[in-house]
Amino acid sequence: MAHHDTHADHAHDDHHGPEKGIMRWIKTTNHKDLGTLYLFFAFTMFFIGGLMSLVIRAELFVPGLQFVQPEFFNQMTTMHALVMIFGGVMPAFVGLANWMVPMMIGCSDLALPRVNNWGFWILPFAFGLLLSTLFMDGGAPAGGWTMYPPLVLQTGEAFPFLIFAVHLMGISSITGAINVVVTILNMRAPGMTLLKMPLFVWTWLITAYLLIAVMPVLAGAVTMLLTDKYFGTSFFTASGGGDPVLFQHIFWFFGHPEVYIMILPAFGIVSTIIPTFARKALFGYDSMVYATASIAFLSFIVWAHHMFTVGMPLAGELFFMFATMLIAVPTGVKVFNWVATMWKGSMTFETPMLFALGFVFLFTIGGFSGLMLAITPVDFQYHDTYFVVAHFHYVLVPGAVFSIIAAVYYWIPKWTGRMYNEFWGKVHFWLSAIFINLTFFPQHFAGLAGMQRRVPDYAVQFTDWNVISSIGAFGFFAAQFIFIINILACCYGWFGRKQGLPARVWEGAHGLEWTVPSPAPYHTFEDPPQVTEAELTAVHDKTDALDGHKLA
Amino acid sequence: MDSPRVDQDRQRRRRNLVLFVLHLALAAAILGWFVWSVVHRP
Repeated sequence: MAHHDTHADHAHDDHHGPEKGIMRWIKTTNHKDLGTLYLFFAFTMFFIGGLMSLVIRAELFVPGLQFVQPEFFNQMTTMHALVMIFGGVMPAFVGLANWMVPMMIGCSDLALPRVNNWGFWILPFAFGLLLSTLFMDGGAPAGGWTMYPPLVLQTGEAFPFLIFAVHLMGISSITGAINVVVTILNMRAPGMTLLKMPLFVWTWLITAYLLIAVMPVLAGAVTMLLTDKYFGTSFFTASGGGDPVLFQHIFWFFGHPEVYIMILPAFGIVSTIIPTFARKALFGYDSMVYATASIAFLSFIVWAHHMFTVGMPLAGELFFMFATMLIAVPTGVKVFNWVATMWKGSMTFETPMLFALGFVFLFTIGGFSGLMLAITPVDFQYHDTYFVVAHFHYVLVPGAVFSIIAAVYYWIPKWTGRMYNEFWGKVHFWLSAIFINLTFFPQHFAGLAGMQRRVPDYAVQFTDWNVISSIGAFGFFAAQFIFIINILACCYGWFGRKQGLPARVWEGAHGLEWTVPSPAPYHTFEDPPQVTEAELTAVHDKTDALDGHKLA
Repeated sequence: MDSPRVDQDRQRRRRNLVLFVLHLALAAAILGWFVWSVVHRP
């Protein structure tokens, strides 16, 4: 086996292993353990949120009321969003950051390991509270994940649970974000200057700043809802001199950066995977960093495009329209950079690459429909229709979720030392790609034709598109079981999967994480590695033999 | 005579080009079918 494992001797750092039994997971301060916990938690939430989406799609399969009462339907749309956003996508990215950031920048753990433990263990309680509201009188919150007053103030017993759960999720996110910032700014290995960091680390650094900036805004907004309901204030109550639209401004000042919190780490993942399987260095590294920072900055000055129909001054509408369209520029830079990276590359199409490519194509569709929505006069037509639902699901499912799946396939050999099954990985990709388009593409048409979102029933002319959409949703959900089995088989060694992969699992991969053994030892980089230019940026010497896993 | 590695890269690129054209054809067929079905709506 060719030895490019310059830091493979870090295996000896494994001088004490994890505790045994359940206490390992409760007490752990290890970034790899917590990464695993975050990922398992996120996938549990994806499953629960996915079941809720199936309730929605089953009810919408044909017009009329079939399975659930309208009240329960509204609870499903609200809870589906909260669970997927705060329980699925965000913790999944924090889990990936936990696993990979220390290994990518060459440090032994996150800077604040106990805070890390606390940040994770808040989440099961937050979602325990939130999900418990399903069993209360009056049911779960049903006013939409955006929690607009006055509607949300009609929530029954569930209301304070909703607010407290959101507070807990915010605390968890902020602790995670502070940890990522402190780690990246203070604990990089010698030689790992900022502009040599892997793109995933860069995108997470910027994401962490976004989180620290906007999660307190959300906390403030929901606290004002709480005092409006229980303590006699009138922040958002017109009869008391308040303004319900104020809530929308505050909420979306959080909400739009939140959208980028859910997509910037995805950009980082795709920027890591495409160079590996194109066997070329990332095209335009510096421009990728600046584009990410530009997107983050712009995310703070576009919030009112979510509320064009509330009645804003024309100058305001114009400003938010143009500012929103400006985001297409750095996003375009990224898409062109990914394409340029692949240009004349020696590409192979392993499962992570397929999901990354699916991301580039399908996220871009979501980006384009976003541009359409940014056009103020036509947004009056699209607002609150299924066109919006199609748009944000394109950026979130074949966008954020595909990137998470790609990341898991890409790094699972490093995490477990076992390779996933490539055939079933490819089957999983193609089923996911087909069914996801079947689910969400028709929703563009239904929306443009006037079908409203968040309704359990609809006019008969929308039936055809809804039938297709529901079939797609059930197919997509079913296809994910292939993924779950494939990944668990790596974790637990099912089907006789043996460990024994080389440190650099993928021929074209570079970065410090590929210099430690596979599976990564419990402790890595307790002594900072020497970071060489070649390891980080150069394309690998093509004479490096394929060791272990045969590619293509 | 090129090294096996350069040869492999060249073969891979050729195969990828064929794959790309096939995908393009598939996408065109789906899009064509879609446009056709809209134009020929009963």
